[in-house]
Amino acid sequence: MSRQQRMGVNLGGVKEAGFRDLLLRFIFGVVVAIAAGLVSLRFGARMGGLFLAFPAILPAGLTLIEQKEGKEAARHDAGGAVIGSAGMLTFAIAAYLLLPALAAPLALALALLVWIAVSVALYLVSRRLVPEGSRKDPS
Amino acid sequence: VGGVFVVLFALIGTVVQPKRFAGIFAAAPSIALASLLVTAGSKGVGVARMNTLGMAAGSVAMAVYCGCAVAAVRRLGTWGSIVAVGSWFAVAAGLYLLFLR
Repeated sequence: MSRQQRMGVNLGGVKEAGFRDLLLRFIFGVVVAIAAGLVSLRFGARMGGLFLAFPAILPAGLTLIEQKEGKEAARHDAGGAVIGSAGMLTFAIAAYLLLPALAAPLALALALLVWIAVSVALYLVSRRLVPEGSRKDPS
Repeated sequence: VGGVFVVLFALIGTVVQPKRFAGIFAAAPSIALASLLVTAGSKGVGVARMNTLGMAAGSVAMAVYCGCAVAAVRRLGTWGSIVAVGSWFAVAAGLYLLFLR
């Protein structure tokens, strides 16, 4: 029987995150949002949209995790990000369908709920198929 | 606004466990949320919908990037996650040329 870490919340992680790390992510976020806007203006909304799913934060995040917690932790984080990316695809589809029907803030809030629901469901399936920390774990 | 959402999801990612679950929040649609809100308000829903089409292709490229990053981090360590960004550009460009152009 495999031993899996329980799902939970560790508020101590906020202290570990550090101001510098969060500032770095904030700057990456701002830069990519501006870049997506500029690409939209110059090359069209569809190409600009590509950059709404640009892995701007991931390389910085993976680098920080790899340095602080090792390759194994970075591998797990990237595995979770694959699941989050699949959820992101459903966010885009939901937003495309809901935006004409509802006010934009409501449509995007519902699309975010779709992202959370799909991501958590896929995570639970992945956890059952490949227990985290098991020898089969490819993440 | 994009930066604020990024920090918010990053904070959620730092407090939830285990690591694979936390990783989900590294791929949260934080920038998209902010950008689509602004675009829908300033340029209209039609432009925002065109953005979501590109975003769908970008999401597929992001999943491929994460898969490549897993292998690249294993081999190259820190640099692996940066080198793997090339896979995002390759897949995103391919999908754009095939379906969105």
